[in-house]
Amino acid sequence: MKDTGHSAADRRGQIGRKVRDLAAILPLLGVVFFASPLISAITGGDEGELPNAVFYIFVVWAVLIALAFILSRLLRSDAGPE
Amino acid sequence: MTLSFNLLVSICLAYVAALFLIAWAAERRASRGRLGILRSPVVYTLSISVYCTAWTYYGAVGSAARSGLEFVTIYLGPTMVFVSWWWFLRKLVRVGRAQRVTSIADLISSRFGKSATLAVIVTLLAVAGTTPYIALQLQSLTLSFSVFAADGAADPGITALWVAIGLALFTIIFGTRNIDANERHHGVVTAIAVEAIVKLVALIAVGIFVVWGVASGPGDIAARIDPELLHGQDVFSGRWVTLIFLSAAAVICLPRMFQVIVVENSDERHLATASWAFPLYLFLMSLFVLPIAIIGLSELPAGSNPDLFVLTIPLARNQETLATLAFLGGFSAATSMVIVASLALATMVSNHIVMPVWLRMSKDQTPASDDVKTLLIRSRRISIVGVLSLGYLYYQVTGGTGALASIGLIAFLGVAQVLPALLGGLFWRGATRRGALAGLSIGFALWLYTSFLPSFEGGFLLTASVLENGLFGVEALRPRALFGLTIEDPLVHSLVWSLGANALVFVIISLASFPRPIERLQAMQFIDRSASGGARMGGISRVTTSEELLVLAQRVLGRDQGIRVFNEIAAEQGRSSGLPEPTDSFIEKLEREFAGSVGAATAHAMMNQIASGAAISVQDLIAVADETAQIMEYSARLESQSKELAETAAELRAANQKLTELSDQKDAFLSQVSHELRTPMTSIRSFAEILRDSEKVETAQRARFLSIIHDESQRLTRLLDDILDLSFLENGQIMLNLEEVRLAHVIDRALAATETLQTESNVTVIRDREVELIPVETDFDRLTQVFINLISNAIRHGCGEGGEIVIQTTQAGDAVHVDVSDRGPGVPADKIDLIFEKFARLSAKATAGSAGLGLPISRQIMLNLGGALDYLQRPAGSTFRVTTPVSRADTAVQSAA
Amino acid sequence: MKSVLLIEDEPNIIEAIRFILEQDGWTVDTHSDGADAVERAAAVGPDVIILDLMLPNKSGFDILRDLRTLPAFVDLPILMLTAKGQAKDRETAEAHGVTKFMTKPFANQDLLAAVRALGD
Repeated sequence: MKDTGHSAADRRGQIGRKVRDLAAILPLLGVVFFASPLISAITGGDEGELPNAVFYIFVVWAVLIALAFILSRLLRSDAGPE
Repeated sequence: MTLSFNLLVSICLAYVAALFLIAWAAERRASRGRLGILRSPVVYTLSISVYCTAWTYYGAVGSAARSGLEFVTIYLGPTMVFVSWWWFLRKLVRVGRAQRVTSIADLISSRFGKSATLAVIVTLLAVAGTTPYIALQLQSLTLSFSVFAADGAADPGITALWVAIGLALFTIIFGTRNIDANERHHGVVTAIAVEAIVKLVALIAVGIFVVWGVASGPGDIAARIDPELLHGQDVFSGRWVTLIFLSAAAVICLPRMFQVIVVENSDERHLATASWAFPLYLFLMSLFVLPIAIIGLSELPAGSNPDLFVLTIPLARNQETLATLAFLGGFSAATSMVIVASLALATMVSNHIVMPVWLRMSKDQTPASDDVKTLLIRSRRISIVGVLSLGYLYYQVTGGTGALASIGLIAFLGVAQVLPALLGGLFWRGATRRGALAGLSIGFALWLYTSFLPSFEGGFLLTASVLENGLFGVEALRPRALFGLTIEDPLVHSLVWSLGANALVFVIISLASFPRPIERLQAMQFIDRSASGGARMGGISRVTTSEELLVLAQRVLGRDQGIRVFNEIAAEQGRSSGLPEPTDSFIEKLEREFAGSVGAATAHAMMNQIASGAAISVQDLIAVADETAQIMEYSARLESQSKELAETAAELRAANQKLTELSDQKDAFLSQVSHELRTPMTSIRSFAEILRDSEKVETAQRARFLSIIHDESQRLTRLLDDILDLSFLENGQIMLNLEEVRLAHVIDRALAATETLQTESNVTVIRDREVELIPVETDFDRLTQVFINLISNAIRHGCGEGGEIVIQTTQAGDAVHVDVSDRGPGVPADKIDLIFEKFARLSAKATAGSAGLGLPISRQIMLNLGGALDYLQRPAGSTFRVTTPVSRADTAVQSAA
Repeated sequence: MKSVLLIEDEPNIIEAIRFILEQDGWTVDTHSDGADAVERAAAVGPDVIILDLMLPNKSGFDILRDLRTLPAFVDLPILMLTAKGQAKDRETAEAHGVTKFMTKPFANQDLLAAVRALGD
């Protein structure tokens, strides 16, 4: 199999692995954007105004949910019987 | 406030009645197997929203009014947990389902070798963390009632009591119908899902009303932000991260969350939906929190309780319908939390405290399984009432003080103590029971000391002076600045101490101790589960061969039992021979058989072990089985097992005794055989030597001696034949030539064979040959042998010269009785038992030429022929009765006639 | 002429032993029931008794024990002959005071030698 390394099954496997990696990274994104000094840096911390912080948090949150939605679609087929 | 208190109560009751109806309908559907929507990912996701309690429903707005964005942390933590479902929640759910855990206490205990102590500690922790939380819900409810009933129509204490009673009733009815962890509470879960919708709709409705009804859109809201809220709040501090972390921990560790996420999960794929849908739910729940808080602060009079803005804003605008909806939302949030929490707690308390105590107390009795089931249900019901009573009591003692407000986060921190053991248990093979015990105990103690007890502000156990100056006045022991660590925020302080020490001690002790075999096995079950992918979830892979399973089955169940089970299953599969196919149902059945021997968890572990390739040795499995036996000491199963063991031991003793007796009998038999053989041999040898050594033997004498030798040789041969015959007969190894013969012919032959004897003794035989023409199903030669024996016995022992022998035949149903009687002395009553014994000879006269095997052989022949040979006690003479079955064809003719 | 009392129930064995001993010049009395064997012995007053073990109605051991309680038979030579040749039978016989113990079948010469030795 080493000369035909790009068979369809192999490719699907690789994509599956990438999706799973992303699934592992997603919570890390959450931590970086919600629970790190980054949040103060972007919203201005003490100096920033509340609406900016609210906007920031809800947008990041929404993106996170959207990513989770896409991931769950991709992973659901993966989670079925292998 | 025109809405009357009574009307509100009626609405509540109607709402509760509707919930009852929904739960009842769901149970009905489930019991008919029409699970459909009940098992949909939507219902699952909605049931998880039991996370949002009245504390978050009302309190989020309050918190937003006081500290701005901080409230959002309570939602961000769970969001992060759910987006990490693929590598964390999935594994948790998978392990929980595979191990059939009933609660988080069960999970921790199961992972660390079914440790009862761990289960008790986690249960206590859960009770300590949840009771105030339940009290909080009761307080929210009464508070929201009081908003409507400003005229003081009801005493809040009474309201809380009725609410508690109603909730207990609901939980008991729908939560304790069945006791198996695998049976899910469809009624409860469906009702919770409906309540989830109600609280979301209510909050969004209030939010829309506030943004577009009260204010004129988002821009207006932004403009109305209180200057204090707008600036200068360092929310993104250590507390921010702490709260996110705590809420993330709580969403897994809270007993009620574990209940809905893990125990009530019916399909792990539902997690995929929940991974985005539950964060979305939280997102929507928090979307309007800040606007409501901002408008509340700007619209309502100063000093209004921000915790009740959700209710008071619509009321202030005379939007009674909306206010009622908002009230129902809060009511839903509170009731769903209390129901699930008390259900989860009751399961723990009942399984890990009540049952072990009861079993220990009734150790001497062996409870029937029905008793245990009834007891289990009863103890759960009592536990539910107990948990709710505790919550109510807590509310009564602390209600109205400020103590309750902060209890939500304190409870989070309390249950978060389970986190190190949980994470370690799921991901770290080296985690040990000792480590988990030590970590949990220290964390629990430190949490109590630095967080829980101080929350009473000196009102309970720890006095105000202790809080101020430390225990015994030692400054280093100040609960809020332990060992001089001064962190301004008491929650962060407590978290650093309790959870830090907990995790540290857990890791250190785990490294320093060695897991027992069962821990190692459980660790493999917990840790390797997701690594091998989803393929094995449904059961055991088909790669498992029946041979492997048979080997294991014989080890666990014993050789014969193992083979018996396999044969049964093979027969069920319609195979006449060979091993059964390793189908799922077969494996399930086998596992159930195992569970009866070694307990469910171990049985399951063993079966999975076989499937995943033997990474663990058989010795380990045996060690596990041994330890499982110890662990099950208090379980009803062991009680009955030890009884079985005692029975087995008794059976063994009996069998041993029987063997000893048989061995004695065999010795006696051999000794007798030896004696019987030596007697003729003595004569033979002696006369042979005489003939060899003595010249002075006369011719006549010589002839006589030779004939003695000849006779004795024949006697010897006959004896050997008899012994062999008897031994074959006794073992049933005799070949019978069954045919239909006339009884008369048999007796004819027997009389002919004994004719010489008859003539010598001048004996007359009296018989009725007509009656004897009955056809019998028998072996002609063998039956003849019996009659020859009886007749010659009668001639030898029963008749003097010129005696009579009477042969009398009667038919009795399917059998024929032939009585052979003589007029002799008969058998003395005390010797009757002896005559059928081998080598039994009653008199010196009888011994001549016979070894005493005739009657035993005859009896054995009759038994082999399906009949019997008995001695009948008659006033005079002896009578032997031969019973033999009549020919079947003959019976058929008779019954037809 | 010395006399032997043979207590034995097998007619052929009786005949053999009688022939062997009478050829050697012994007077042979026989008795074949266990029940009254002791009385018979007292009546005959033999120089040697040959006693079978398996007798109808009363075992050789019991006869031996009863004989040894009588003054006349305390020291009388008693030869026990038995087809049950087990060690424990020999021990029982010795415990009951047997003079000599032999198993069946026997060599005629051995039996004769034993009776001669006991008779002297």
